[in-house]
Amino acid sequence: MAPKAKHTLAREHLTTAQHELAEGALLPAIMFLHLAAEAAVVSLAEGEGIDTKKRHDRKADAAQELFRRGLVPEDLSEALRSLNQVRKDATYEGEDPNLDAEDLEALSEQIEAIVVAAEERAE
Amino acid sequence: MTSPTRTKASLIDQNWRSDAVWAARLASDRARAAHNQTAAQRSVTATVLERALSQGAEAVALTGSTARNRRTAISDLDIHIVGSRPRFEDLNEGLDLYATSADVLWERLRAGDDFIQWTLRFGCILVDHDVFRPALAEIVETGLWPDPQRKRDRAKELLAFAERIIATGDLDAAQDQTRAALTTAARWLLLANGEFPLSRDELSDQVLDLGCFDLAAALSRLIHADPTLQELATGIEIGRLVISLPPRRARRAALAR
Repeated sequence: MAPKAKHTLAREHLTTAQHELAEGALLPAIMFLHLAAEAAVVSLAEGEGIDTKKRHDRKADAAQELFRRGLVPEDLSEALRSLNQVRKDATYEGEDPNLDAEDLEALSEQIEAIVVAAEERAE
Repeated sequence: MTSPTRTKASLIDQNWRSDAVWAARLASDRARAAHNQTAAQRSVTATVLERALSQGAEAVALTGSTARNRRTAISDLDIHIVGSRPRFEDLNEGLDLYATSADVLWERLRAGDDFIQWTLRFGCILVDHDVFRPALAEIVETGLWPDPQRKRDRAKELLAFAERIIATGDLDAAQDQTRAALTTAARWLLLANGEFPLSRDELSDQVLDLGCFDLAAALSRLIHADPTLQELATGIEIGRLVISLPPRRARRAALAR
């Protein structure tokens, strides 16, 4: 399978996250929301010449920089760092996520906005 | 449980209830933490420590690859806190904060958690108000060994999720998830064979020493190279094969070619 464009992946991951959320599967929803947000950030960052070096912290830094440059409507850096920590706690330690469906719905809306920005930029 | 085959003496086998031994450990750990971090990392660690202590933390340690001085391009700064997790989202550093209460730490340690033992064995203890020290003493006095089955169960879940991500075609995410799955499989293999897993960068050598060449090669590629989706799919096959076998047979697990 060939790798896909980041903005395409961002949309696909977001759709999967929303589906998982609708099914009440919080952990998969968190994982795919995180992937969607990171893919959208990387798509936009690459267009701006910002190298995220495949590091989660650099992607969060890039989200802040994209906001500073007016390319995304919100600064999602703190949300990205928080999602990454929740994801790691659940993945490595098997801990229950400390985010509920309402939190995730709100995050989904915020992330959708940067996915849309990445799609528009790619077009 | 106790170690099935562990025979080698290790640095952990000391009398941690001795004040002199403990003081030497703390001094050595603090010096190592200072040495192994950049100035920026030391600053972030100091901020986390200050915030954790202001919230009543009972113990704090620098753990993970930084404590072993084996950071890679993808390493986070891992900090283990006995207490509540302080705010960290404003800190511009790849951070992984593991935070539990002292009660949960004891419960998990006795239930076979390996991460807590990792911190106690290899971490740099920065502050301890009588949590890490008695835990370390208990490990030595009872021969407590992490439960490998927990790692095998986790590896199974992670391999399934990594396979799902590979199918999406997101190479970066697939590398990340496959790395998590294979390091967990490697940790199972090592623990089940009486070897304590070291940092991620050291796992491939440890697995190689056991004779599990395919898993060692896949791990090394995931940490130091840029494997394709096809290579990742092969890595998943290797991981599944390894965890499907009894521990001693898993040491020789190899894909048919």
